[in-house]
Amino acid sequence: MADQKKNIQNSNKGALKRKKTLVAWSFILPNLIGFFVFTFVPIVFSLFLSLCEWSAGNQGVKFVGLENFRYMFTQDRSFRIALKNTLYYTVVTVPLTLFIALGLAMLMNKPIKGKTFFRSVLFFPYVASLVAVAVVWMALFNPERGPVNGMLMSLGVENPPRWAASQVWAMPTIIGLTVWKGMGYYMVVYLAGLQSVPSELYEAAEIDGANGWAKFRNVTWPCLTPTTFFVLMMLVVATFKSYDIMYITTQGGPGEATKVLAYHIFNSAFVSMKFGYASAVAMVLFVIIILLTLFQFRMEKKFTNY
Amino acid sequence: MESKQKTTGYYVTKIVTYAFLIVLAVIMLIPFAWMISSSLKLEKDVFAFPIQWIPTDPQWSNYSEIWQKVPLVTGFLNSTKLTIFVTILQILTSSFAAYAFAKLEFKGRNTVFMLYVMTISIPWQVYMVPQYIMMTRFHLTDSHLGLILMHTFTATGVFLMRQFYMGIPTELLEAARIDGLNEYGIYARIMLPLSKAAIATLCITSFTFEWNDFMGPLIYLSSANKKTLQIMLRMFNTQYSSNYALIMAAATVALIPVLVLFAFLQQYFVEGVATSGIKG
Amino acid sequence: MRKKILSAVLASALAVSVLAGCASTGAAPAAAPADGASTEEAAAPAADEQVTIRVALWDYSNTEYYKAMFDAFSQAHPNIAYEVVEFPADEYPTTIKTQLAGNQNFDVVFLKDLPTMSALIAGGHLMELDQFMDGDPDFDKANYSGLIEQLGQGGKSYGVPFRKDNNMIFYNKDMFDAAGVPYPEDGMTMQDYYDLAEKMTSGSGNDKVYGAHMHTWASNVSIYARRTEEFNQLDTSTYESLIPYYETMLAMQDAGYIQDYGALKSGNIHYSGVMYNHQAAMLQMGTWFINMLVENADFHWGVCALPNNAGVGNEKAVGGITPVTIGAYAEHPEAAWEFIKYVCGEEGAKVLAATGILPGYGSDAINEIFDKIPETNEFAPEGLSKYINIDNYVVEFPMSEKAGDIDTILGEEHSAIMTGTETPEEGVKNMIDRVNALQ
Repeated sequence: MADQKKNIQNSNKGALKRKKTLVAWSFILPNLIGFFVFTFVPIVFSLFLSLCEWSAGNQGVKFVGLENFRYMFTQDRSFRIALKNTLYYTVVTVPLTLFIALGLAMLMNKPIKGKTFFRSVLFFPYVASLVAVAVVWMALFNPERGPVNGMLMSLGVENPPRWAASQVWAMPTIIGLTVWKGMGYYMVVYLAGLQSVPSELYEAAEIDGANGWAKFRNVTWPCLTPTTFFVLMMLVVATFKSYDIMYITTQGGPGEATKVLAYHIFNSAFVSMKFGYASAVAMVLFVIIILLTLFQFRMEKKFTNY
Repeated sequence: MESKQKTTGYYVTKIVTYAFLIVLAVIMLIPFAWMISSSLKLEKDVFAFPIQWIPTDPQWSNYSEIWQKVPLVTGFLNSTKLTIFVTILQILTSSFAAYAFAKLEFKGRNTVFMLYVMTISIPWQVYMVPQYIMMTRFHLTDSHLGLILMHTFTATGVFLMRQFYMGIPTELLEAARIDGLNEYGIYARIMLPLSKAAIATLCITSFTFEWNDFMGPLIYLSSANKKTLQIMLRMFNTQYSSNYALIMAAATVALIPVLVLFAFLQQYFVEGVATSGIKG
Repeated sequence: MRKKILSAVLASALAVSVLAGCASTGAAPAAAPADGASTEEAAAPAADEQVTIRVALWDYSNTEYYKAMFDAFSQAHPNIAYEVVEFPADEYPTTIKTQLAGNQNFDVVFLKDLPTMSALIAGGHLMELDQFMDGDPDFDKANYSGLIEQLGQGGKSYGVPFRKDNNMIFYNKDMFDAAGVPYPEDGMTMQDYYDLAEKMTSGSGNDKVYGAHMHTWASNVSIYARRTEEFNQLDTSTYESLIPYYETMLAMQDAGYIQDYGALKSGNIHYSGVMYNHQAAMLQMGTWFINMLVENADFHWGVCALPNNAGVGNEKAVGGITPVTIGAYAEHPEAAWEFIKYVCGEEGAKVLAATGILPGYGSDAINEIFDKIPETNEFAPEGLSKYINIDNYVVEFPMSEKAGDIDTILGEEHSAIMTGTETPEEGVKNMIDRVNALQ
């Protein structure tokens, strides 16, 4: 008898669970179907390509196993340089953009006169044409006649950096441009995130006598965790995939000083016509992002206390 | 005494803040100033050194010239059509899917979500050609529908919305469930109103992306009457020379819709929107 | 569920891979359904049948002569209409590669550079033209200065040169006259060139006038050695011939006779503006600059052959080629051939030459058009035909499947050398090592 009752309960539970699952899928499917067909399938195909040789010709695809990876890790000098450059670019750009964006968002969330104006202005470089932004930036940092070096010289610096024309300074110049162009957008994302911080929490903290920093540490920062994860992921992905900025400004030079992985991928695909190899290099990005996502899932469980 | 000290400190902070903001604003406005000033110059003066910020002899004719040289109205209409469809469809389907990913428990949730997020890392150049071959088989090349289908269902949109939904307290939803609302009702009556700022963000993201997208329309649209504004801007770049004065004039015109949208959406970034519905 | 997703993914991936393998040329037998073949069968229309050919190119809407030329063709061939598919110039190679990978049915395909052409031939996206060339009494390869052969790969022909270019030194005669310095001449050595640049450099600050101008491409150095055939991109044993040319250019840069490479690159400075604004006395550039000077210059200018260390005068020309080809998925290849024969033949060449652009097709009539430019333009020099009517055309970058990769490597090392990151010896050694390492 007891067993029967339990069975009924179980099947009820099962039906409820099935219904829950169905409801959930009904939310997801409209997006998932389109995503699957138009993005996921070509991506899976291109991942499969990483084990092949394919020149976008009509000779079809030739399976070569791990040959692309062997070549990448043992012979391709440019890959190693590009990976190193990408890591440098990412490790500096991501935290810099993230903290500046967060700081600006906090500032722009205060009662400031002309808030709309300032927000729009900060957002501006993000929407402005990349060509215009890059041209201006490079002109400012022109090694011979740029105003930045003019200022440095008048301050007594005898040999100011040659910026984009120097092996050492080219990457910092590009990083500056990236941060300048991108921070407005992430500021907006943070602003949206700040809107969901319950003001009661601030009031409670104030009652406890918390000062500005303590409020930030104990209320704002924890509440922004999901937003920070999003910003972090998007920034990492964006810097990893970044290609146009280098293409417009330095073409990867001088030498290979600003050659990043995405640039190498583009060259492998459309200059060398080695689409299999380009996919293999993209797999490296892919693996790094998977690791970051897994890490994010774990941290999310730890930090999200709702 | 103490209160007076406080007000002095208050004013100092204020002044420093505004001074900082103004300097920042000037730095951020430099490219805009350059765009406008270049758009009013003769081509040979665009890259003259040192930069001449205010053209001595403004060439307003550049603006009428771009109007005559390329069918900008067609480009505007095509870009507007693509952008509006993609933005609306993306907001609808992404926020719908994101609700399930953020707030519903079901088997395979994390796996499917992982699939989404992982695809963000693949640069488009890698799967551009396979995707193009596939779209050719579907007969969706040289059509706006093809572009809309490719750009609507993005991982970024779902990811963005999910992260915002994660921040909305689950207790609220539980309360609504006890009150008898089903999941669709919760989505429509609680989640959507609470995520106005997030939707505004997605709207900006999606609009800016589609409006400025260049490689997508370039690869997929070959008929002249289907081309977008951004492709038309590129037509001023020729093999041996680039007419930056005209490019910048056109880019300035193209910028206006995005700025207008951004200014309009600002009202959703007002503190407290989300808190109004939350009890304790 | 997960298994189902996986199997669905695999199935679709396989489907795509089969599609990609379609229209295969022999080797892969199973994956070759009818599609590729059927388009070719649809070809061969009756002579008077009305057809519309699709023409892929760039710069169509902002180049006036194309429309005039194409309309004239349509008038001469009333049964052939044309439809232009235009892509922006900068992204043309990427776009055309993608479009042809998707088997777009372009009949006529203009190409911007030879590396792209090599890649498309390797992919099987271009039609062999030997059947047309050999069977057509109206077509004579001899009119193209041996360039048809240079556009071939594996002993087969794939393209006809629409435009070709020679590279020369352009100079501002007014500036030389004012300084009392004799004009540059054919057969100069690099030292002569250096000395002239030194004499012509003057002023400082915003009034500085440079003796010469060197643009930022890698070819702006290698072209000197390429013309004398000391240098061949496909043969790394010739690379060391670049070192003395790099040394001359670096010496000129260090002495301030040419503008600094880094400043040019950061400032996005276009060579044309430098000449138009009288900021430099000499410039190495391709023959397309004739057209730009005719339209923009307000000074008297002249040209001479490139300087070199091998004692070569004006008997060799060096430059790029703009080929026209027929797509492998063309629906009307015969009509496309008629079109190519027209735009790359005498009629098309005359239209090009009239604007100061050097056509691939050479003849006395074309030479005459160039010699007559001074009649309508007071600043242009006499006797330009001397620099275009040259039997020995060296193609700037030889055809090879590796051309794209080699071009990238040479460009990167060029920027390293010109910014002083590497000495010429180190840079050239890197070029050799990296090109040798290409698979």
